[in-house]
Amino acid sequence: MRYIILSYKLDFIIFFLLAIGGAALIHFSLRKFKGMPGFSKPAWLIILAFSSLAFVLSERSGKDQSLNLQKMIQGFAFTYAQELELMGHSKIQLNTPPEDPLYLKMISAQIRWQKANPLVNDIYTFRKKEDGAVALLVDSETDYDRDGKIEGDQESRTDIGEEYSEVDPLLEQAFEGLASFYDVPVKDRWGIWVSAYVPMRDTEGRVESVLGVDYDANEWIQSILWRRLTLLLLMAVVIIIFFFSWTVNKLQKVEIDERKKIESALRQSETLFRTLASNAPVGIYLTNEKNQCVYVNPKWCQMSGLSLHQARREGWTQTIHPDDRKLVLIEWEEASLSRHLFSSEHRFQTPQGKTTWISNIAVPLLDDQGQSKGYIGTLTDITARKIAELKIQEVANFKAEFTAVVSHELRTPMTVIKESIALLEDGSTGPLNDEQKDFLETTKRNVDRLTRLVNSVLEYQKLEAGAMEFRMEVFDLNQIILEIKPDFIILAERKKLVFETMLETGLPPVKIDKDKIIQVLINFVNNAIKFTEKGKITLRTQKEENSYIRVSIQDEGIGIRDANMMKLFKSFSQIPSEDKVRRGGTGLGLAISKKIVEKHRGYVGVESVFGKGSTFYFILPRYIGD
Amino acid sequence: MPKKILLAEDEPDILKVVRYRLIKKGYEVISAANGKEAITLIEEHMPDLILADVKMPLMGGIEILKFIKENANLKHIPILFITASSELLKQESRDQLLNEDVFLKPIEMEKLTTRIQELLTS
Repeated sequence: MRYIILSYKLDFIIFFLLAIGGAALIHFSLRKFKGMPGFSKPAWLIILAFSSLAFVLSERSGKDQSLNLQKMIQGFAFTYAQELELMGHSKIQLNTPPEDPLYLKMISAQIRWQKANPLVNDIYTFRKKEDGAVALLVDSETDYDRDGKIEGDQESRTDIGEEYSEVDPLLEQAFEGLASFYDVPVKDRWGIWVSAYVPMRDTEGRVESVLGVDYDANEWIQSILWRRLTLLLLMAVVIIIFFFSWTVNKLQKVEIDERKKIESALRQSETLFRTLASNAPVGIYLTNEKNQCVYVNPKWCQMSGLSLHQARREGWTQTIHPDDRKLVLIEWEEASLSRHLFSSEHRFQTPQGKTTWISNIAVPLLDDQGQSKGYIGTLTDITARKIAELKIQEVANFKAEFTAVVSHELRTPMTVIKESIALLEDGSTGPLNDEQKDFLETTKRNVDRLTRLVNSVLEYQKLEAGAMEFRMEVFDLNQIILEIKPDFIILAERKKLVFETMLETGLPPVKIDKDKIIQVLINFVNNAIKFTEKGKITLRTQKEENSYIRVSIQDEGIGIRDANMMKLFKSFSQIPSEDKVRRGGTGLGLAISKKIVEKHRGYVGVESVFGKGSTFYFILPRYIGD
Repeated sequence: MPKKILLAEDEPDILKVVRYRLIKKGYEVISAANGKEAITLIEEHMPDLILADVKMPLMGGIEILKFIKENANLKHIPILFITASSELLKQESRDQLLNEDVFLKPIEMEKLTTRIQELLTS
């Protein structure tokens, strides 16, 4: 078994497999559990180098041990050979009787040596016979098992002249005068051995015999193996130390790299934050979970007139305008209790007494559990906007009030004029001549026009202010159009125009204020009639894509120049008349129609080719349920 | 015996033309320049119909309405309103009134006289 290990270098192969296996294990563990790249190529090469070194060193130390043993055994062999030579070994013949005193002397010497040197298992001499066969000459009884007793055939003395059959080339070599050592274990009837052979010479210097010393092959191999294993173990320790230090080093390096990265990122974000906070054109502040101010940026200080130190904790509240403070603090409390966004527009009053309007928006900072860690907020100076807004509101209010007052105030004199004319006209105050009647007619027409204008202005004002009521109900547009179609035909016939409808069947319903949509239809149709001298007016309904319905009124009138298209739906804009005929409109009809349609979430539009006619349309969303 | 109409209107010119028209139609017209005056005259003359401006000094048309509705002897008297702006009617009073009982200035006299006739003949 030991021999097999040694001869196939199994010790090294096991060592190598363990080394590579261990390295692979560490390699994959690092990759899997630490997310690291594992052993690099150089590391693998170092492991291979260590393994090769282990191989070379183990081989060498095995050889060394083998040589040492060989020297030692050979040394014994030379000594014994010399001793026996001096005793006169050459006188012993193949036929010397076992009682021969010289022979017995040599035997007892052998026994003595073997006892004295436990490493030597057996000492014996060979002689070559005439026929070339090799025979054993002096071979004492041997206590192989070292139990102090000579027992059995194996341990007993060998007869003089017993032929030895396991002759190997090295033994032959010894007969030729060369000391030799056979390190390949040989098995004979006494056991397995490695042997040293030394030539013995007679007085004339001829090789007369060969002395052999046996050494237990097992012990021999074991001794070599131990040396090798000691060395491999040493190398294993070296490799383990290498693995260990490499891994620790790598782990440390990763940790250091990570720490460096984090530190660098921290530094960067700190710089970024400082740059942002100091240069931002808005005030920035931070609060903690107790709603205490912990940080404000320079712009905040500039806006509030407080220093960071003064703003800390509850200090920031003193900069809120006294009139707004209570409300802002309530809003702040509400937002922070529900961990919601805080958004407020309020005034700041600096200690120097300067008042500014501020848009104050703050978002909660939440930890992983959703708990508030405070707020981060920004302040924007909106004073200019607030002033502008107030001005706009003032102007709008004034405009609304002005139009309302003027319109209402106009109503009383209009009533009086209208009624006075009516009284004159119907003869209540006495008969009138034709000329007087004509002028009264003109006056009456213009009072009516004035009335329409006042009504339109008020209506437009109401629509614009969102004060107009809409009574929304579900209708079929085609049905409504058919209801008022007769009126349109009459209107058209007055100018000898044709009015026709092209209504798409199966139109989806719409939710509308019927009266207001009719007002839009009348407005569009009236316009079409007004600007058309001959031809026809066509009212169409169509299904549009995306669930919209289109109602269009097409005329064959004078059309509109592109440049004037944009002005059409604006209030009080009447486009310059092409034929120099005043049409007598209020300039509000289309603007009112546009507002009405937009209140229905629809839109109005116009397509026109100058000289060929125009198509005004409005688009309403279909009703899809409430 | 002509029917009596109480006309409460603070604008003298309106009062003048409406009064003229109503007299022409054959009614007896009692004029009041404001609500206060109207109330005194209502109790005194027991008109068959009241025509009042909504907005007048001292007391407006709505107050006249309230007054006659609270008075058992008077609450049967129909009342019509003249106004420059329908917004002047408060929501509560608007709910109590029929659309055809409110006349926006400029008054369409034809409609007004027709309505008066309707109310007085029924």
